[in-house]
Amino acid sequence: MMIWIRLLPVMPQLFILAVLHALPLLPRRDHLFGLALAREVRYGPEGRRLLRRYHLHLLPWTVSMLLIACFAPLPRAAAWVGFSLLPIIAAYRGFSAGRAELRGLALPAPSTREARLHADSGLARRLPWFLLPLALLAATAVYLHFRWDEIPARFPIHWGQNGVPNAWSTRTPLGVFGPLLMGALLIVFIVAIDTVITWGSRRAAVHPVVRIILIAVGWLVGAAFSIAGLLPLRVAPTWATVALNGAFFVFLAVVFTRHFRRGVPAPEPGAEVTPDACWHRDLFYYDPEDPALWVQKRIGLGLTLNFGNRLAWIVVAAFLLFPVGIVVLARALRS
Amino acid sequence: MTKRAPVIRIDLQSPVPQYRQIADALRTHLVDGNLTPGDTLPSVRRLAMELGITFNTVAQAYRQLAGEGWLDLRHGRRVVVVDRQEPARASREAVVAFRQRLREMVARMRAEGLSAGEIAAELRAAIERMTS
Repeated sequence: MMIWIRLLPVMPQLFILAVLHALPLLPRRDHLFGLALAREVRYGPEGRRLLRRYHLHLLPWTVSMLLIACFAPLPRAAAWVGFSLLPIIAAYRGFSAGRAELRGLALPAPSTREARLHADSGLARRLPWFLLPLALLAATAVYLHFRWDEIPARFPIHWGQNGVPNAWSTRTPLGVFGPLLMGALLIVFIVAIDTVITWGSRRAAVHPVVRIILIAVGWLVGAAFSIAGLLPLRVAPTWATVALNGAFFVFLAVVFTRHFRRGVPAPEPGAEVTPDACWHRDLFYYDPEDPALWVQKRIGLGLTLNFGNRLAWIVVAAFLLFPVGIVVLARALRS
Repeated sequence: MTKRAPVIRIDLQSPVPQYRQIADALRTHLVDGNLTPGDTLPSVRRLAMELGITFNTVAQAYRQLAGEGWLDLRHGRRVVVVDRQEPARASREAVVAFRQRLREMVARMRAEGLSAGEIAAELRAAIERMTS
């Protein structure tokens, strides 16, 4: 079991490190360090030099993290999160340095704005993708219901690093179906995120990869919590969880690789244009004049909130309160 | 086969007010036949967000086109293209305003170096596109 436990945190670490190395090329391949540049700068000696410098800046952190992940004694979760933050901080510093050097060469933002006259948001077409993981959880619940008598009165739900159970649950509706309920709530939360993003962002700002990742996370949650839901029957092997996580990160790697291999995309209608003056440290966006709730990030792939929109604070509150609710539910299950 | 949604473009640095740029662009699509009766346009909020401008600007453009009989804004938030009853004849004021605007545009293009023949050809092509 130790080898499986060791592998679990390595996979997300590998993925995070790969994303950090790709950071200057995100969100679009014709950008470098989040700036629109002329082709001769982007692919010229200056662009290549800054990209090389960024990778070299990140290299010691990459090697250290891989060594820690593979050989160091398993740390506590908090220490692990702390270690993971170090390469992220290093990447931010390297990115800011590269961006500062290139800022003077950036192409001016166009004064024109475009919009496609499309009334359909596309949300209805994506919803079925989230129904499948919910159906998986429901199927697991039905399976448990029909084998209720085989569930022991007390069963383990968590194991320590030495493989010995350290948390138990009992054969009650909440004890047995609780993990499935938690999984369903998480998927509903992901659907809510997808809905709020669709409702509050420009179409061109939402990269297809973001949508694919949201759906993939929904599937991962559905499968992982279905496996966890089978714990009362002791038919869920540890390797299945590891294999599932592995498959998820391999899938993400394939999606990212395909995105980068597609080449330089043509300019899209309504490409995201946010005024420089509204960005603070290239991380936080505040523009009360912009009706968008979400805008394309300047650093990395994905979206960030427009804090000039009052709804942004409701979203922040929801993001903070939902994990608290999940933790409360998890504690209720363990007690 | 579903038809591809047309695109509108505005220039934030243009001296023409943004609401008029939107109304003009939409009207062009309506006259060209790119937007036909029954088509649904984006809501005021959606179009304002896509263009990164205020809701009021888009609402003003939609109201103007609704006043001209192109759009129906009564269906809650939906904005629907309607079958417009063409007026029997343009008003005298509208013709005068059009003549003035045309003179300005022709003068500008002459100043840019376009010959009178080329301008006439462009006008003919534009009219033929809209009547085909």
